[in-house]
Amino acid sequence: MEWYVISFVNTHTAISAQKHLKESFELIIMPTPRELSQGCGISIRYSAEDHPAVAERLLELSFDQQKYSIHGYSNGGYSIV
Amino acid sequence: MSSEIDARGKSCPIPVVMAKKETDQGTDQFSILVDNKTAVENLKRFAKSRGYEVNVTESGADFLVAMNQSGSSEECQLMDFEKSWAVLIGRDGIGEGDPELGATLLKMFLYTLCESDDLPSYILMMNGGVRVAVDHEQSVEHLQSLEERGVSVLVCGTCLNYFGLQDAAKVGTVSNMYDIETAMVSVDKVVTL
Repeated sequence: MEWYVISFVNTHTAISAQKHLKESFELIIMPTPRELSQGCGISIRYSAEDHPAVAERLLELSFDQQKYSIHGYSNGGYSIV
Repeated sequence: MSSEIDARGKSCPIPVVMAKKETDQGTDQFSILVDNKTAVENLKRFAKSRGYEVNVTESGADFLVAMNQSGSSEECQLMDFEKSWAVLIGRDGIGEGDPELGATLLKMFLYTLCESDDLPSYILMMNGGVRVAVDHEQSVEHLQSLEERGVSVLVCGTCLNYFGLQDAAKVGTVSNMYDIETAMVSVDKVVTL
């Protein structure tokens, strides 16, 4: 994967996740890519290198797994992780 | 008639303003001598928006930008679609309501702008908007990349001074009301965030 994007079902979860994750990771806040139809408009992009640690941190933070999904980007498209 | 305008040593928006004066008068062929690449890029964008063809020749440290209007009806139509524009950032976020959401929306807007081919000629920052050039990390990176692509980022010096941030801007050119007003009136539209 070239990078990863987390999309969220609502903006409050997105902003809360951004606040927690930015303490430990370099994030890029972006509009949810058009091809990811589900979710609210705010997404978080991070590097492939950080993926295992970010995924683990989200679990540690007890974010409801129904409220976000992680997508990997490669070859011009996204696939759900 | 072809005329040559010397715009060397003129600060940021002035070469474009000088070019606009020529196009407004209907001059179909003229050249502008400038001394920096940003001015060349700004003139190229301006020329495109007015349906002029551009030819740049380097002479020493200077650049001669020749502008020719081909005058075909197709070019005239292009003018309508490719209007020049500027963004005015007057606070450190988009809109009112929640400041945290506003800051997030601004990051997303600048990210989207970086992905776009239709770039503004200017990004103008005033009042609380100057903070974006100082300490909004992601936004600073986007603004730097837009600047590299030829967008002029003008940061209000009076505003930096008011907030005690004189030397703190990490991107853009510290500017004044004259340059900002000139930039505003030189484009077809100004989008205020």
